[in-house]
Amino acid sequence: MRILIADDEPAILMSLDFLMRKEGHQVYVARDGEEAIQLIEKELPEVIILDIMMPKIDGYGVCQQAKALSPTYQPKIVFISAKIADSDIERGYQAGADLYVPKPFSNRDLLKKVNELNLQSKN
Amino acid sequence: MSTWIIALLSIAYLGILFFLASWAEKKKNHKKSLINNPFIYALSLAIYCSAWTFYGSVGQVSTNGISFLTVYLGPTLVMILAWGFVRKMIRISKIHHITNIADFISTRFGKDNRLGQIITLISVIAGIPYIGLQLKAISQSFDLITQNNPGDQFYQDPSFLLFIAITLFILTLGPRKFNSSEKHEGMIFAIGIESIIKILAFLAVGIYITYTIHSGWDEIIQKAHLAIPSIQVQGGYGNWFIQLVICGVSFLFLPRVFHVAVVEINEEENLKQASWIFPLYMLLINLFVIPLGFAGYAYLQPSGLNPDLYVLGLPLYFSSKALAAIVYIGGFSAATGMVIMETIAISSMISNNLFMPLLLHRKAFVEQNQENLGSIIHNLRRLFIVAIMVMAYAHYRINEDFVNLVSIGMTSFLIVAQFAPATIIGLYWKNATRAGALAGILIGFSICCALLLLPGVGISVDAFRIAGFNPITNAGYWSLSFNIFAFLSVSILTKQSAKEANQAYLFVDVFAYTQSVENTTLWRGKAKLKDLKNALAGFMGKMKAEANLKQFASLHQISLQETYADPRIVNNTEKMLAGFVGSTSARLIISAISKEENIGVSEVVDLLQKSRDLQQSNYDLRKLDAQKNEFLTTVTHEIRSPITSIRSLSEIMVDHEDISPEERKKFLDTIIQEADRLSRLVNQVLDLEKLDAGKEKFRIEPVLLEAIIEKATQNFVAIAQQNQVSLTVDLSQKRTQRKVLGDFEKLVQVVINIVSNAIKNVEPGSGKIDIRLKENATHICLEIEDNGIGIDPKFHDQIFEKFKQVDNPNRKIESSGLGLSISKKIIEHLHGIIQVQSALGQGALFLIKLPIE
Repeated sequence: MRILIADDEPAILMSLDFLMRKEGHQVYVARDGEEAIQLIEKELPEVIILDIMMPKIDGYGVCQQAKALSPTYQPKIVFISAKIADSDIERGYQAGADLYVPKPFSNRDLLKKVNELNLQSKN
Repeated sequence: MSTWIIALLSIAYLGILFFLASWAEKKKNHKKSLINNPFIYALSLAIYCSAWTFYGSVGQVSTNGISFLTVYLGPTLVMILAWGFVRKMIRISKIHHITNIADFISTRFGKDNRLGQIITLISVIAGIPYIGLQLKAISQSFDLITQNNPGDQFYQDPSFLLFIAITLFILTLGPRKFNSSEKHEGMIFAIGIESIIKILAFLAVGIYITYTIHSGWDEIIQKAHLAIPSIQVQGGYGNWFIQLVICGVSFLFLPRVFHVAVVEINEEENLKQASWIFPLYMLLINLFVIPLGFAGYAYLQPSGLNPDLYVLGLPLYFSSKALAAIVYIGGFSAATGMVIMETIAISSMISNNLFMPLLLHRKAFVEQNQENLGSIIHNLRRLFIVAIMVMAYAHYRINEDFVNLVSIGMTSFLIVAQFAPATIIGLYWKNATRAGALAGILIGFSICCALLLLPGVGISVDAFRIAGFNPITNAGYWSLSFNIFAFLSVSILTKQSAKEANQAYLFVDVFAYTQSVENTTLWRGKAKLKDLKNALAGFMGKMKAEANLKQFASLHQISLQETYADPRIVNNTEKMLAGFVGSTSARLIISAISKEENIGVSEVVDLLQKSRDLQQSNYDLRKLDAQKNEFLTTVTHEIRSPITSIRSLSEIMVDHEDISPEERKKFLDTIIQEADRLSRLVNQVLDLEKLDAGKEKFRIEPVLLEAIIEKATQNFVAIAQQNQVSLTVDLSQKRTQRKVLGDFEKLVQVVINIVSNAIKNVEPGSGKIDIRLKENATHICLEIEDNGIGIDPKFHDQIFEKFKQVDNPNRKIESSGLGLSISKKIIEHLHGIIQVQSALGQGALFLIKLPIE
């Protein structure tokens, strides 16, 4: 599976990159929203893991643009965010997220949920 | 035109008004107020322009020249110059649930119902002929347009039919049972519409006569000059000035104007805009008075038509029937608007301030009828409306040929103006007493009556006649002078009662205590809960009364199980009753069902001040609390990022034992870095808290900024090289070795904060950071400039606040969000200034100015 990870925290990017590669996914990383969109347009990843507060374009914006890219392209969107209030989570789902994972998260937990998402999409 | 067409037109007009009023009421019930805006408010104020303005001012031009202008200028000046006073009246009336002008004045002077009764009587004396005048205008214009010759008996007069229709109109839309008092949403909307109609009608006839029949003002004035040797202008400036004063001060005290301006206003804010819309209206409606007056004189004077009817006579003369009908309806709307509101306002005064106090003084009556008081008052109110209308009609029939429109109007103004000294001065001077107000009003009124009525019965008052004054201005001069003199001197000579002193405080200092008055209980005594409930039920119905009490009790956590009511409930009940019967009568009802103790003025002031202080500190606490909350949310949010990395990376190392040594080292280094970041953050939060609380210790000494720059930049040499950023320090512009007063270590910290931000914000490779020092006679300025991404000017203030970058998409302006706010606190502590100059994509220039030692 091809996964794009966008976060402006290099450390988080580093650990998620490692984690997903170990799972056998092909991973693309982006440090900000603009980079994320460029990569999405080019690579059309199946899963997009997005931080919400990123420079240039925020996570909501990236999500919106990814979804509007083409009718045939239906990526799964996962938000990872330090915004953890109920209202934030609500807003994330309204913006079109398939999954909202609050920071800090457990790797195992995140992987499990992403895999479940992937299964769903195959069914 | 046919009598029936015009009669039907008038009735249809009333029908449409009725429909619009009901529609507005319905809208209001759906919480969509049509009248809560400055335009309708200003238009409703135009109720001031009665048939007198509509017909009378043109009549006056052709007899008296431009003295009609005072009628227009007086209120205009009041609205423009004295709107602060109007606002004060509005605020007071809202707090004390004032229902009319008698209520207002008597509440100011210790809720004294004797004063209220006198003011009511005087208002009735001034008001009835004035309403009669409107009926006369309706009738005369009706007769003129239909060429009808009314019979000798009133029932032969078709306008009698209109009189009945108007009375029914008022009865249906006026007093309502079980509804909060004196607010008439639909009525006010209808009045607003009427104001539009009368101004359109007047402008239509003005434009027609001036620009269609004639070529403009010049031609009309020439015509008039041919017809009359000269237009007479009475009196000199003195005359003019007194008339202006009378019109200005009486404006707000006319019962109908007080009612729309003060009682019916929804939001104080509406007044601000109305203070220019209303004068504009007045200007427009007077625009064509002069040409119409002149034209009327030129064409109609030979026919002997009453000058007051020139406005209607002119379109008839030029056989423009449609326009005549429009003018008739305009005049009809001016007259009906006045009649409707004046009748409602005066009937409220008669019932709340004249009759109710008489009724309520009988304790036995109150006790027996507690539950029916509402219905009794409702029915009485209707009776009073009919009585006022009948009296006004009778007055007009009896005095039909007696006087012209203006003189009755002016007399009415003059009488009402007698309320002005006590009210105006009483709102700013606490020592004004009830006795003073009574003396002033009674003496002023008596002088008016004497000077205006005695000549009618053959007694000469010429001895008091001042040269150049006409009878009205002469009476105005004497009555107002003596009124003011009596009011002031008696106030100085008499002592206030405790109640009066309390009210004086509440009125004069209303803006200081608005909130407190609403929330403080200025009552002490005993009242049975049951009695209060019954009294309230008498006005709003049992269900509503109970619901209201319950709501109030639960809001203030008061038990309703006691026999005797909590003072707050007594207070609240009085306020609600005031909405129905006015403030003085409400007080009477409460004192009839309770045993009351007086509270002294010092206690009142004390209570109010305590309440106000409490509110202020409450407000401050809430604000502080909100700030703390926001800070806390942001701190926890900022802490989440490093924790996430640490947790995730540690988990990887637990789960993946096969990890390569290089990767292991990389991950462990990152964990250490993130842990550092976390502890830095915690330290910064603590620093900031210390600075905020003023607990941080500063070691103030003369310091050389060059040394500070040197120390701060040491740390960055390696990082700058690594990121390929050029970091240059230019000290050439500072030529002296002058020092500033500061704390060396803290200033180093400030420079580090800014430079480290700059390094993060520039592009590796092309990044440039320049540090400069400049000086003038008093200050040394440290400049740190970068060529990085820059900061949008709209965030310039925010970046110095704690964590303010959080909602900014370009959040990498600053790492922890606290460095700049710490820097700002430090610089400000040293009496310096820290600023930023930047725009997106233009780099950023931080300036730190510190005073020279």
